[in-house]
Amino acid sequence: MKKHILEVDGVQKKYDERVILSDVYLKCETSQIIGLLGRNGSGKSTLLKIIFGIISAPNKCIRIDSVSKNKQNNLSSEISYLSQEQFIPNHLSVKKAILLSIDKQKLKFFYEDDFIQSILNKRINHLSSGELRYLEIKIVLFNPSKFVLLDEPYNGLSPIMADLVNEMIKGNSHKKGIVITDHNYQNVIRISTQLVLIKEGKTHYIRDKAELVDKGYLTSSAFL
Amino acid sequence: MVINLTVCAVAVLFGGFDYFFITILSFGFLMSIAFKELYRQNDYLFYSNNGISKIHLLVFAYAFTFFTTILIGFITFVIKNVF
Repeated sequence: MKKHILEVDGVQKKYDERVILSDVYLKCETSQIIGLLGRNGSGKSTLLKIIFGIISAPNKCIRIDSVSKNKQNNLSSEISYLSQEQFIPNHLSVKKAILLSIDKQKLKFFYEDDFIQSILNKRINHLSSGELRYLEIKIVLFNPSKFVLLDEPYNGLSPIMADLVNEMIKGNSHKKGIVITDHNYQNVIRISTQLVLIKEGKTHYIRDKAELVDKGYLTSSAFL
Repeated sequence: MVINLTVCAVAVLFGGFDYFFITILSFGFLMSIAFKELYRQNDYLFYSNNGISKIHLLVFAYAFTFFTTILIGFITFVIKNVF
């Protein structure tokens, strides 16, 4: 399988006069799961939105396979994005949302899931928040894009569903590069192949979990 | 389309049927886009994730409205002249 590389460099973002991101470098390769951690308001979600192109940033430099994508507003054919909020329109049925999103060749495999089978005949607005989140994550992961950005995927998921999602993310990571951010740090740490901490607008590559304590993201009791 | 047609219905009610064609292609269409921008902005992400940009969606929506208007105009013309 061909390896792809997503590189994000020099991203700066201010809201009013408050600097959110000032020196960001992020690299994600196919089969890598980058766990993006940071305190509330540190700019994790903003960074994902800038990468996907729904928020502008003055000096961003985004490259895929060493080709600059700065002039391209729409990277949706190469990157898919799971937002924090619901993104599947309410008026669709589950089946329709799946048919619009998944390649015909992959449909059979997509449907081989007891959970998907149980919600297949429902409408989107009749799903619980956990059911909807699971469906959204699965749709985004099964997209033909090279990279997936997951913003708070564990929101509203029960522990057993979170485990299913972890398996799904791992299962899809061999053909995609995945960037995941969530305050459920245990799950993020568990599935990530590389942790990155955003602190004071800068990205810090984490080699050892203890660094998360040193850099003030976790307290030492978090590892007890 | 539902919002556009609702705006058109109000225009027809107060101004007559001729206003339908102007409203559906202008104010009614803008109102439906404004509603999406205000209340359903995340819906665009669903289409973005499927490789369809916001611009493409807007162009397709206007083209669809335009051809629907022509169809309604043609049917109205036929009904007026036949019956």
